[in-house]
Order: sequence, then C-alpha cells, then structure tokens
Amino acid sequence: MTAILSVLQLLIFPAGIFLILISCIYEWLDRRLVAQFQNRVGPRWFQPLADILKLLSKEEIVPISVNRTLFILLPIFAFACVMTAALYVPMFGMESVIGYPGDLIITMYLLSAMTVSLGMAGANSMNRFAVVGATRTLTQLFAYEGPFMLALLIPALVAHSWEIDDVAIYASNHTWMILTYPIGFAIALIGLIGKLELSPFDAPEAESEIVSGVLSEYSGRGLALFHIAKNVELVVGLALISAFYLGGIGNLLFFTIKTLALLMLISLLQSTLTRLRIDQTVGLWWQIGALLSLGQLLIIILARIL
Amino acid sequence: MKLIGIINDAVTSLFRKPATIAYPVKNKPVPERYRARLDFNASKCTGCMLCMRDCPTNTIKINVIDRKAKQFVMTYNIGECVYCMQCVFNCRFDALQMTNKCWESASDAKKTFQIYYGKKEHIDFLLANKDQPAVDQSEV
Amino acid sequence: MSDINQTTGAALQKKKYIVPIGPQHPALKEPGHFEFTVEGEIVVDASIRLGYVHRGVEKAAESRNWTQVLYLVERVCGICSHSHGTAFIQCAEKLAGVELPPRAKAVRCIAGEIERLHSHLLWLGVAAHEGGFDALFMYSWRDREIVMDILENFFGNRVNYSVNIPGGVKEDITQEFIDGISPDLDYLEERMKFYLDLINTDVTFRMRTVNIGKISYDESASLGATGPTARASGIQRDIRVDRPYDGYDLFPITLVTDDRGDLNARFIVRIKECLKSIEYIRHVMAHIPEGELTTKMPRKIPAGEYMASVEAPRGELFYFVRSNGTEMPDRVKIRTASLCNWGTIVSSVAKGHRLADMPMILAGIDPCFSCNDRMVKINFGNRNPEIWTWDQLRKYGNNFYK
Repeated sequence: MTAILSVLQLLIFPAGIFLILISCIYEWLDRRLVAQFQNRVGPRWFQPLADILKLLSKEEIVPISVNRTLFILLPIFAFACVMTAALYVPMFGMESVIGYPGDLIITMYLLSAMTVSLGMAGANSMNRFAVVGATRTLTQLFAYEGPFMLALLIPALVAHSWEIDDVAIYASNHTWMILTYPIGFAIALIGLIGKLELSPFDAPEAESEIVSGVLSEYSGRGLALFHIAKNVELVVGLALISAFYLGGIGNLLFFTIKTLALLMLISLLQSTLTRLRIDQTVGLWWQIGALLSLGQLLIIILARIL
Repeated sequence: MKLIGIINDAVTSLFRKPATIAYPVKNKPVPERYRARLDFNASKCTGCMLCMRDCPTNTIKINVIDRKAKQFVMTYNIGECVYCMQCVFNCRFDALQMTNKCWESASDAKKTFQIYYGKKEHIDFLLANKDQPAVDQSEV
Repeated sequence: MSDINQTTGAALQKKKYIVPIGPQHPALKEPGHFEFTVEGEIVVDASIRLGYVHRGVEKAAESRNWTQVLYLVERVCGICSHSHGTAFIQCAEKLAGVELPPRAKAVRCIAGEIERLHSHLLWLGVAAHEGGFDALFMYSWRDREIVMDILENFFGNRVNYSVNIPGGVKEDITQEFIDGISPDLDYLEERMKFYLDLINTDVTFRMRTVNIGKISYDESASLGATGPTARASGIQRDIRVDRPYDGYDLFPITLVTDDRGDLNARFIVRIKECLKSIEYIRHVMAHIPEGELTTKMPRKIPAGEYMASVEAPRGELFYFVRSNGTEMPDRVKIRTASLCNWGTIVSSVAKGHRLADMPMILAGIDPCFSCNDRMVKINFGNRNPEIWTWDQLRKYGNNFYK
C-alpha cells in the first residue's frame, strides 16, 4: 500500500503531472504579470502548456558533433532533479513527502544540479552561442550559489535543524522570518531570480547577444524538458522561500497566496531592471550579496552567543 | 524611487488597461485623411494620361474606349499602389480622388486587387478583349 | 571584402574564437554580418560585412522620371523616408531654379521634425531592448504609436507618408492639425522628460550605458561620424544649423551636444533632440507663413549637377544628382547617415568591450542596414571585366562562398 502511495505521490500529486500543470500556470502568471507591468496583454492562460505540448510532439534534432547520449540524457537528468527536489519541499503548504535530517542540503544540491546540467548541455552543444551561454550559466551559478545557500541556511540555523519540514514548522510557530531576517529573505528571492535566469540576471540566455544561450541547439523534447524543469524550479523555489520566510506550513490557500505575492515581486523586478552583464552580476553577488548574507549569519551567531 | 526609474509606470500600469489593441476583433476608426483606395470619376477624365506618366509603380492605366466621346476605363491595382497621391495632384480635372475606403487591403480570397473604374458596358467590353480575372468595382 | 576574407581564413579560425552575429540573429532586425573575435567575454577584434539587402535603387532611379524617383528614394529607408525625399527633391528644385513658397518650407520642416521624433522613439526602444530593458522598449514604443497616429491622421500614411511633391508639399498645416497635434505634443514632452530623467538616474541602466562605447572627440572627428553619434562626442555638426535647407533658414534650430561620448550621452542627445523637436514644431506651427503650398515645377530639369545634404534622424544624408536635361535623372548617388557611423564601431569602440555590450553599442549608432547597401565595385586585377554576364556573376558568387 505504501509503495502504491509513493508511486502516486511521485507521479501524480504533489510531484509529477500535477506539479507540471501547476508550474505552467505559474509561468503563465509570471508572463502575464510582466506583460501587465509593461502595459501589454501577454499570453492566454493555456499558452505555456500549449508550448510544452507542441515541443513534446515535435522532432528532436541532434547535431552531428555532439555527444549523443549526453545530449539526450541531460534534459532528462535536469527534469528528474527538480521533480525529486519537489518531494522534499512543502509544496502548497503541506508537509513534504519525504523528510529526513539534512534534506535541505539535498534539495539545494538537486536544484544546483539542474543548473549544472544546463551548463553541460550548453558546453556539449558545440554551438558558439551555446558555449558562451554555458560559461555564463556556470559563472553565474558560482556567483549566486554561495549567498543563496547561506540565505536558505539562515532559517535552518535559527530553527536548529537541517530538515526542511522542521524549519517550516518552526517558522509557522514563530514570527515570520521576513521580519526578523529581512536581508536573508531579499537575498533568497534575488538568488532565485538568478537561479531561474530571469531578467536582470538573464545574461546566460540574453537573446540579443547569444540567441538563447545554452538551449540554442535544443529542440523538441529536450527543450520541452528543460522548460518544464525551469518552471518546476520556479514553483519549488517559491515554495521553499515562502515556507522558510513567510510563516511556514499552513493553509493551502494562504500558502498559495504567499507564493503568488512572491511571484509578483519577482516579475516586478524582472520588468523594471536592465539586464546586467555577467561581470556585473558576479561583482554584485560577491561584493554585496555574499557580504550581506555573511553579515546576517554573523548577527544570528552573535545573538545566540550573547 | 529614483533608483528604479520605471517602477512608477510599471505599478500604475498594473491597474491600467493594456495599450495593445486586439486588432482583428476591435478596429480603430479609419482617419479621414488616410490614403487608401483611389477613386476615378470617368465623366471628368479627359484622357491626358498625366496620372499614368508619374505613377511610381505604373499601376494606373487609362484605357481609351473612345477618345472623342471621352469614354475611359481606368484600371488600377490596390496591391501595387503605394498611396503617394501623386496622380491626384497631377489630375487637373479632379477625376481622381483618394478615399479612406478599403483600409485593409488584404484578404483571404485569392482574387486579385485589380479594380476597374468606368461604365459597366465599357468594362465588359474591355474584359471581353482580355482573359484576365477581375474584380468588379461594386464588390470591393 | 578581400581583407575580411583573409582575416577569417581557415588557418586563423582555429586559433581565434569568433562569435558570428548575423545575417540572421535575434538582435538584428535587418541582415548584416558581424564577427566578433572574443577572448573570454572581451572582444578583441570586430569585422563587419554588409550587402545582404542591395536593391539597386541608384540604378533604378536612372530609368524613372523625376517624380517617380522621388517616391523611389523615399523607400530607401522606411524610418527616414521624408529626409530621403527632401534631399532628392531639393536637388531637383535647385537644378530647375525653383524657389519653394515659405509655407511649403515650413510644412517640410514640421514633417521632418515629426519624423525625427518617431525615429528617435523607435531607436530608444530598440536600444533598450538590446540592453535587455524590455519595459523601456514597450513604453517607448507605446508612445511612438502616438507619433505614428499623428502621421497617419494628417499625412495619410504611417511610414512612407510622402509629404513632398516636386515644387512643394501635399498636406497643409491647418488649424485642425494644430489643434489635433497640440495635446499629443504635450503628452510626448512629458514622456520625453520622464525618459531623460530615467536614463540619468536608473541604476541598472546607468551600469550598462555610462562609459560604455566611448568615442572621443578626435576619434569621432577623424572617423567622420555624423548625427547624434557625433554630437554625443561633442562635435558641433548638424546640417540644420551649418547649412540650413528648406525651412531651417526661416526658423533656425539650435543643436544639442554632449561631450562625454559614451552610450549614455547618445541616449541623452537623442532624447534632448526630441524635446527640441517638440518645441520647434510648436514654434513653427505658431508662426507658419501664409501662402501657396506648391509652385510650378518643369518636367524636364535643366542639365547640371547638385549636391544636397539633409539632417536625417541618424545624421547627415547626402545626395548627388546629375541631370542631362531630360525627364529622367542621369545619376543619383546616395550616401546614408549610418554608413559614416559604422567606422566608429568597428575601428575603435568595439575592441576591449565585453560581448554583452556589443548589441547596445551596435544599436547606439542607430544602424540602418538597408540604407547602407550601395554598390561597391571590387577590383581583382584583370579578372574583373567591367560588365559581367549573369553566368559569370553566379560562378563568382558560388566560388566566393565555397
């Protein structure tokens, strides 16, 4: 019975098909909000889903010079990474499916593995734009990863636990951590924008410079899987941040509203800022982001000692 | 919020109607001075052919049926016209006029945009000597 | 062309990492080919190849009569169609000895300034988009729509509005026009002030534009830059001021310069020019002289040569026209504004910048690809006969791209 339940949880709800559909809705909301901020109409609600279905039904072209196995496996690996990460995270305000001490690290590792596989896919593509995109993706990964990780570790340190569920339960029993640790929240949110390669950190896929970066050579199924992976990563990231900083596990409705509010903030930043160059991104993260998150950490440690 | 200059516009446009016009569903009224289909008044034409000479795309053709009786048929293709209005300025007898009709000179039908202006029997006479398909003036 | 061919030869290609941009690339709305040799992110060399949209306009002009050529040259460039028409018809009018009535001159001025507004707003959006600032792109294009509507409502067309006619203009500036345009101009002025404020203060935008693509006064002067690109480097060069044509002698205009020479200065110069244009349109509308709109123009233009320059939105537009006394021009030579400015990118600005800055630097001169494509004759010793047959040309082309 438990085996069937796990399979259902993995394939249908909360991960699996349900998550994919929900992530399409989130992507649509993001695009729609950006459009609204720019005073235009934006896509209709089924557009992301239609895009993915169309891509899945299309032929996948594998370039001659690439490593075929890697080219086909990397999208699947990226997709699998984020789907697995979704199991550890309290999606939609419910307790996560799997939970054990240290699963926070696993989740962060899985989310990073997705970005790494994106970079590898670009480097494997042998396309000049994709290679430049891959270097940018990986450079950016090293830029935001440290501060982003620290920003997610701050609630864990406060809650004295490395288990996501414990931290979330701690968060729901105390004041919202956005009020007590605002710096950590800001860094986590901006780090998520960097992770998702959205504007202003979209240098890795800047369309006016390097076409579409690492995904230049991808088509059909591979492109669709990477798209789904990114959408799911958006949902997982939003759920993680709102579970940690916006009052933990709770009512499904309230939790969703919180994630949507975060999404709105992300799309506002996305539509009002200019794309930063990759050197500026790196400089900004290491000079300001890392220092701020270290400062926040220092405050916590000092508060505990004193 | 001087640091992020456009944020005011972005937030206010959240509560504003999008500037996009849902084009085929909603249509803007055609401006009065818009240059679209050319109209020809056959009774005023004297057949001086000045419009033909200066037409940049050579799309205007005045077919003489009977010069003495001032019987002319003008053929003209909307698809070729560049709407420069030169012919209207060249015409000294006000036989040509720019109208704002036929704003959308595109159609799904595969008929040509060739237009014949003139008396019905003259057009029929002209068409009888040609085997080219044509659109009647009244249809457009 | 042979130089470019040598530098991109197979032997060198192995050592250098070249990022090709174009002829088909999302950053380019028109075909052009750029090769950026990069070391990491830094561009160390740049080369350019144009000629994908050669249409033979100059040759076509020789087989049409003067009036028809007026409409042909308007189609050299969609954005500065009025400037092309004005420059050409000026030559014809000067050759024929026709003096325009003052009201026609004023109308030409107003049309030219409205065109400048629409071109600069278009450029603002494109440049912002190349830099990844899509909100500014959307907003400036939304506001550009107002200018397009003015053109559509009063000059009859949105792009090739052909206000000029040999010996005058077609459309009059009526009271209705003045009333219709005034609220739009007020709104545009407010928006342009907002954009000026925005590019001066917005943090991320300044990070991408300040000290990027800097051209010094000397470089700019020696490379022969024109238009806003030159004025952003502090060069006092504006045909409207230096050699006033049409109505600019009746209603003088002052020029806008900036001495910093970077991308930000180019933004500022163009937006300030828009503000100046709005002011100028208001001034001309208030003091528009009475009189006729057209004068008589002979069909046959007396033999002779004339050179005319017009300050198009992108810079100095140059026309050389030779007449042999017939109904058709004997030779029409066009030198468009962006052709002068290409040199500033390829020879000096590009090197040392990052690849990410390239689209914005490219857009910074407001390039127009179709404008540039004039015929260039290449001499390869004696295997290049004067007239090639189609087969020879085909064979040469196939060999060239092998």
